[in-house]
Amino acid sequence: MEHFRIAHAEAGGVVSFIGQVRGETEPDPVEALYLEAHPTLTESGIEAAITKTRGRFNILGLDVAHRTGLIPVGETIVYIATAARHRRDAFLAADFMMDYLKTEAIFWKREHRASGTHWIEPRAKDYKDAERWQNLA
Amino acid sequence: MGTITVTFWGRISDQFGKKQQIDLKELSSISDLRKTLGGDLLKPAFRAIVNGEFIANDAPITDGDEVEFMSPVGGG
Repeated sequence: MEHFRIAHAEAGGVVSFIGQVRGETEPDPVEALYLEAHPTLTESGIEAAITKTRGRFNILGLDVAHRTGLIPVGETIVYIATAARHRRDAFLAADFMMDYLKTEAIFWKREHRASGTHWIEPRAKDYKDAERWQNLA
Repeated sequence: MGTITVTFWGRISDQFGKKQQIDLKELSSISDLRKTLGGDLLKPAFRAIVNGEFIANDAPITDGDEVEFMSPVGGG
């Protein structure tokens, strides 16, 4: 993050976001998430989304890092940083990129709970969040 | 005749395992392969890739092809 900030000294704002494995306590706590990625399509999809984000918002830089494999509760899943001359673009670009990752990025996600494991897909709220961008200029 | 390699991504791997070698025998298209394997592969939401490209259901498959079936994505 510090490296990214220093690399964009001309920016007026830098936004960073860290998504982590949410710890739910009762009645069947999540212990970890397992994330599977495709060896080529996941990365090419994220690269295309970065290009789209850069085209849509006036940003100077965008960094994305996403983990795969078994990730315990409380650990980081995803990191995003954006830099822009003005803060609004930095906030919006980070939010837009995150909505792509939550609904369209090629990851398969399995929850590990005390009772066992099961695959999960985006929630209705995730799709609703992503749809907001169709109505925004 | 010949064989293909089929990889399964996401929850569909619970039904078919991670990877299979399959004899083509009378199989000549992705549609034939879906019908033979059955299960969730009969649903179009499980997209098919052949040799790195998303393909239509009636696309042919031939000896040595690398086929992949993708479960609906779960997001990051």
